Amino acid sequence: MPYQFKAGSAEHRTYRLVGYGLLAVVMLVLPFILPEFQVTRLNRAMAMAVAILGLNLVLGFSGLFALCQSAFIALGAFASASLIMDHGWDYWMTIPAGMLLAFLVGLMLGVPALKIKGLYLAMSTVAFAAAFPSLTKVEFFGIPERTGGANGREITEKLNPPDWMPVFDVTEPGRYRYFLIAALALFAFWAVGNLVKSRPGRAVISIRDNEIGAAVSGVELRRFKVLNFGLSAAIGGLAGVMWAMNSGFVAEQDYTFVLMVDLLVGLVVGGVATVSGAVIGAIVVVFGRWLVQTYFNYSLTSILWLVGVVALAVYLARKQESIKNKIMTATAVLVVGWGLGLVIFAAIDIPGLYQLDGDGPLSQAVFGIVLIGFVFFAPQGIVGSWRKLWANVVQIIPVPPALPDDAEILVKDMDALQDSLKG
Amino acid sequence: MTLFLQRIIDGLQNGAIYSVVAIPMVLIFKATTLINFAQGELAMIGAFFAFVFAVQAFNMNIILATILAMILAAALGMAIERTMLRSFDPTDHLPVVLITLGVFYIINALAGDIWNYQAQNLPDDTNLLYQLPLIGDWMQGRSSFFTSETNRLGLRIQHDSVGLVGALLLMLLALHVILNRTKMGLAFRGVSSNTESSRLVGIRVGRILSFGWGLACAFGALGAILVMPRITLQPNMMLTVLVYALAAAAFGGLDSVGGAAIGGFAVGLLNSVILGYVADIDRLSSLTAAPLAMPVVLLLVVLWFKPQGLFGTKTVERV
Repeated sequence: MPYQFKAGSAEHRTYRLVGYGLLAVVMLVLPFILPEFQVTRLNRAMAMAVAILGLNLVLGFSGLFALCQSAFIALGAFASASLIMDHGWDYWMTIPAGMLLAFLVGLMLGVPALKIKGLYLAMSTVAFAAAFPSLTKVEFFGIPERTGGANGREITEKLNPPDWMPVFDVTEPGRYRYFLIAALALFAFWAVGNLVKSRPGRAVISIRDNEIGAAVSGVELRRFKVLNFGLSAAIGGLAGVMWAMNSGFVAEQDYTFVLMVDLLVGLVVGGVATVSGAVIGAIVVVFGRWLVQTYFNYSLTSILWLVGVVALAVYLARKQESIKNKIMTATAVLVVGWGLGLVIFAAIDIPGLYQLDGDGPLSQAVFGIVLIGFVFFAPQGIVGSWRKLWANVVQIIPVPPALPDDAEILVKDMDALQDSLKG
Repeated sequence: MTLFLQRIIDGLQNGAIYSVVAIPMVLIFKATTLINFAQGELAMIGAFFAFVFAVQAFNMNIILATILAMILAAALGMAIERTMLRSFDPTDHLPVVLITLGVFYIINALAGDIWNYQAQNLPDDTNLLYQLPLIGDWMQGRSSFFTSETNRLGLRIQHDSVGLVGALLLMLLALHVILNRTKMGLAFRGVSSNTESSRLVGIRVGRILSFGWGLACAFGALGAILVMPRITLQPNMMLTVLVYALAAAAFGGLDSVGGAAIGGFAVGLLNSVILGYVADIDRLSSLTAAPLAMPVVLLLVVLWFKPQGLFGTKTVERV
């Protein structure tokens, strides 16, 4: 029997306080116990988390297929780099500028595509995201000079801890940047977390769940869709500025379509339409890629073969009735599949089929497998699954909002009414 | 004038490449109302299959290798459809889009891992067009006209591009026959216009979906094999083509096969003609980078003014 209490009660407040307190302690302690290069990675994870949050706003909460968050990150990062280097702006001033730029470009993409139902937005945004790296080199208004073209742009004016701050070592600026980036990330999460619970947020969710119903209830579909998309783009721009603050270097090859799929993996792994899922997803993507690249050395072909054989075994075993048959089928498929794999791999002698390669392609493929695996087996993501599990331990019972004082209560006894309706 | 003609020829050449990816995409859209973002990668892996058969492992004739690769690619497409996409409700777009992107990622990485990201060395006898019985001989007989140098008209018509356009037209003809003159094609058109009614009149919808994917992937592989001597064979060969193909499919209308072909040519032509004149001709460097802006802008313009495309069916939907 789970432990229950009502929302808004004293227990609930303590519960939330303990939760936030734990989060604060972890966030304060982490940068000091991790080595500096991991803190830098953590900073990138926070930028990714904000980007995924923006993506979630449009993909998860409003169900629109905007697949060019990577390009918005890039816009924010390039705007920041260019304004700092070419115009001598301060880092902080580039945040609204980067967000505004991403917002405007988002409107440009969203307004035509959102006129029509279906996958048109997905098409135009995929095209934009895939084309973006080469767009940074188009000779137009001096774009290549601002973006640095193929070489990227170094922001020579780095964010280093000021002298009067004795806690931070100047040679290890990652820890200092961590706190700045964390403050921005917390702000973004606070804002979006409140937004999805607010009136416009609920309007957006209602559009996802039932467009006609939402329109009938007075939600202006077009305006909310476009604004929501623009807002998610602006959050992507913020993530871009955070990215630039962390690395101090912006290059087009960091913002390819691969980053977009990474963000999607983070979104799905964390949990679609959850705010906290973005954090989990970003951590999994950033640190997962690092783990796979460092410690995972297997031939990709054999992994894929193994995944296929295991999936087939599970699929066939599920069809069997008795436990004995299930085990027999699964074993038979595994043995035959593995043996067949050995024979085939031995017969076709292509160089590279056995290649042990831990970098680029391998982690990419692992991410692809993870993405498809989550869509199949845990579409609600880690956060969604966790909530389901945690509900066995603690349950918070929602309390309906209080009626206004002058409300006229027409039905005094709801249960009696329902009973009479049944009869 | 010569320059203008040259631009048109270049445009048609590139347009054929874009059509080659756009046509299978439209086929899959017709079957499932789903945009298959993995289409370029499926075509790419088909080309690699042919490469394995013809060069790496078995030293087959390229024609035989192409047929085998088409069969394998079709089998792969059907397997992907059956195992990963069938169980999802096609009107719920999120899972299916995610899965096609995951497939995109896995195939790209797999090819990168096995064959690495460098362009492969293709021997001359892997050029499918030259190895075709009659056309190949004819084209090689005119090698002074179709060369990479300028010919006597002052034009540079790359050897295989004429063949490529011709092959594309043949592919379209074959598709037309399959879709309009066979029973399977009739069933396919039925499913594509109304899945529920087709199911009621006894069409096995699942088989038709498999058929659509198989057909699309086989033709995609054929197209990739045809274009691989031109755009080099490497895992990322279809990445930029995908952008153009999306624009081409939208331009021609997402549910029209012929529209996709015309859209591909139109995108190719617009790209070479407009950019040839608008962009700074003196600075050729801008031409190498600018083209990808073109399809994105075109896509937006199409979505703004004629969302159903030139030949697509207008869906009546009030938003």
